[in-house]
Amino acid sequence: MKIKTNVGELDVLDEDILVFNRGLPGFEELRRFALIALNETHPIQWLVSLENETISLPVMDPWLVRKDYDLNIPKDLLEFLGIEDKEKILVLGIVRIPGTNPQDLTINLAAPVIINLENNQGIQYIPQKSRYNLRHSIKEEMKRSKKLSGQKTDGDN
Amino acid sequence: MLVLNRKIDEEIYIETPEGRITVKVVGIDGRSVKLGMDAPGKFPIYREELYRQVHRENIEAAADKEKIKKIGKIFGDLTDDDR
Repeated sequence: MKIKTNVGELDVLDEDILVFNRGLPGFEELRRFALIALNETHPIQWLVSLENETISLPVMDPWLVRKDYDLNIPKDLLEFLGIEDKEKILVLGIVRIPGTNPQDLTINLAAPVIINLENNQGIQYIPQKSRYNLRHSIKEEMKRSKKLSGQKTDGDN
Repeated sequence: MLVLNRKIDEEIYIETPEGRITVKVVGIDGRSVKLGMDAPGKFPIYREELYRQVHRENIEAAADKEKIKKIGKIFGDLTDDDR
């Protein structure tokens, strides 16, 4: 189906529709989303609402930002999403683009979006306690990750 | 809002089509009440202020067209030297 979004008009296949049965905090009434990769914003992808064309959330792979990102998904949540195979989970961090200084991107590592790729069910996981924050500077995290990988992969290449 | 009086160790049952949610008063210390909760896994439980924070953060993260245009460049600058 053709869908108008604020990242453009998209052709979304039924099997690509992601369902957030609980909505996302702030957008509780929206249930159906699609994940769109745009070349021009790589590696940021877009979680676009299929029900409200003005809503799209920039998201990205948290491990791309924080190499040693540590996420424990509790059993309850695995059950809620019907996850049987942990390899079939997609984890995304929601990215915030500050209005005044858009280059100071932050990523939410405390409450990631988790999607079961086998049934396309998703949720935003809000742990009671997290070692991470709602805002991590992407610039700083990438610097840190680069340092880490420098230490670990020296001699590998 | 339904308001009920409960003493320490007393519980409230909330029956839902998907199972029972139990709320127990575990302790009281001055103005602070400690609650214990049992709910089937399908019912996430949040402290209100934590949920609010995530709520606010998501609304702020939702991007408009202008921001979408800018973002490609920003990331280009950050990742250029990695390619």
